[in-house]
Amino acid sequence: MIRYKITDKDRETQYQNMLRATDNYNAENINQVGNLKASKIRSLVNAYIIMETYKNKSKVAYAGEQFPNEILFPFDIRPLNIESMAAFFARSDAIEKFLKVTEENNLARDICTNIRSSFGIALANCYPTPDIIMVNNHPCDCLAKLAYIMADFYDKPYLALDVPNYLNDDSISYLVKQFKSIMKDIERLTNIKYNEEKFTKVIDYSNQAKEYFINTVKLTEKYRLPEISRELYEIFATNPWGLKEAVDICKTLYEEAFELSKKLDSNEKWKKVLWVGQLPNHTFEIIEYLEKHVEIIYWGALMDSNMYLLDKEEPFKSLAIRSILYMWNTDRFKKSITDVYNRFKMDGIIIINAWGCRNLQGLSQMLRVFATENNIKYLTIDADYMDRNNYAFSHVKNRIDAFLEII
Amino acid sequence: MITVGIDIGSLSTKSAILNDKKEILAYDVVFTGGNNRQSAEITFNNVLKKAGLNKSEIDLVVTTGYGRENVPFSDKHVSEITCHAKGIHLLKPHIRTILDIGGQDSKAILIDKDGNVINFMMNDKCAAGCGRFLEIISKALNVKLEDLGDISMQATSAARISSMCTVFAETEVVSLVAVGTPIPNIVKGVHESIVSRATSLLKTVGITEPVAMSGGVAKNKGIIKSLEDMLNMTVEVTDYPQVMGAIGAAFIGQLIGK
Repeated sequence: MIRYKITDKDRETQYQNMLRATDNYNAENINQVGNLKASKIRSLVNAYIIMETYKNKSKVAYAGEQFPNEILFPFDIRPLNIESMAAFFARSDAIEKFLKVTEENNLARDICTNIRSSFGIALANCYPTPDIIMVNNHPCDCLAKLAYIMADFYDKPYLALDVPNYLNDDSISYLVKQFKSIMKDIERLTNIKYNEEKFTKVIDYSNQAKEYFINTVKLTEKYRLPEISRELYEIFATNPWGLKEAVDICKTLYEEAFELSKKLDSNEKWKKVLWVGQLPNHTFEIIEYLEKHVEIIYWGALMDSNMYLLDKEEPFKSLAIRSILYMWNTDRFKKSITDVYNRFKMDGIIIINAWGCRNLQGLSQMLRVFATENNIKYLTIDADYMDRNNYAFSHVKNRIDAFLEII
Repeated sequence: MITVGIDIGSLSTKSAILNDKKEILAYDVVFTGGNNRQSAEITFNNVLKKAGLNKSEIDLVVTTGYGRENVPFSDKHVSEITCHAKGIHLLKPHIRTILDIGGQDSKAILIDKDGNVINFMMNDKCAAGCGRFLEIISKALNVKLEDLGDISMQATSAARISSMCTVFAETEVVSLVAVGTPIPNIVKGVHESIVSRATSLLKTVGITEPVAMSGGVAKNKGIIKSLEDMLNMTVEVTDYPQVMGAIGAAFIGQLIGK
């Protein structure tokens, strides 16, 4: 069996590799992230954090999607979601180089492209070497497996959180025990002492940002604010909870949403569709095309876990509850979608099947049945935001048009 | 009021003219070829000539099909899913489920009593199961496309065509010919392969009887027979299955005109 190993672990080299790979991407053009000030701040903060992870002095943890980063910040560890970073690379032509590397290394094209491109970036040695790899098993087990393999690539310690599917006292207590144990493991592996005062502050930042986030969601419920809705999703995808900067981003977004809403008529009627699944770059042709006809509300940003505030008195318990809420449990999934669908007075649902994503494809079947039973108009789109070999707009445009005609 | 519907498909471009009594005055079919704008113009002129009309007598042109947005003289364009639904509804208003197999995709469409689309599913990832597939297979077997239906009726059994890919299926068919499998059995196997995929598509939207089939492939009686056998129900076909999208587009023109 071939075992891949990253031999040159110097982050400066990896940084140069990354720059070379993305040579055509104009990262300095901040206006391409959109018109909102909040989007520009988020983009700059992201860029800063990514740059910091390439510094040899930084403590870096690869952290899975929606990992409770609040437990890392008290150790001054910088979380890096390598899957999100692959999505960032997908906005440049660099992704094709990374995907080519995976093919040259015998990785099947049927694998989820998010995972495959993360492999490609690692194989091209463009990620910064981690100090530690942290992972949770949601939203999919593939991410946990990817993290495990990355630990092998870089020969680094691997810590995993096993998040239960159902929310009850036993599952919360099971996860709280894991949090307490993992904090000791981080101390041991990084030689950094846990700082409770910092942790309290992090929880406070997390809640402050979340309160602005929730209030912004309420505005999008009442007014047509497409850019704000999209930015809510981007913030959720960035998983910045616990960072001081997240408070600034969410506060700015709320203020912008509030100012925009004053100029709008809440009775203005546009057809609304609920987008369930991953969101590609806002310039992705499906989004651009749909936005000409309907208002898109992104379910990902509106999940119960995103509306949940942490309890300062019992931070681990509330982190456990939030983590479980984030699990794509079928019953909660249906309940949450029904709730959002009704609250936002939607006209239909668009379900996105990302290439190779077993998780979404399984859920989308459930969602189709659920939509049919509830007389909800729906559309399923197969798409691949990263590998253009797996998708063409002309394939899906016809069904989008038919769906728009139906609603 | 006189309306024209033009359906610019991947293989053929169809047109139909309707008057305000919803009567089909004429219809026409041409190959799409490499220039769908040109094929739309050709069929438009053909259908006008067949109906004995000139352009100035046409009130509205509605286009559909993959090339629907590429016709300069179109007054409105509508997806072929809606057009097939309306077309079938005009001619057979009792129909509730439609299977449309065109040149490069297939669609299962569920409609209500007014011909509105309730739900639909499309297979457009591969030409296997579509008109293009039959065209390629007929070439591989050196038989005429329009003869496939009759040939399949002579089959003693159906050869198993397992592939879900047009190119691989062609290889499979060539291999079956090489080992001496009778052509009718191969053709019947091809039909069953297409119908098997189509029935899965129909079941995903939930089959509500009565069922009809539209699209060029519905002209193949071998396909209709296999479909009826597999669904164990009658499948209705109009006199103009290939032109249903164009008829539906012209009918939508009439509805807009109201």
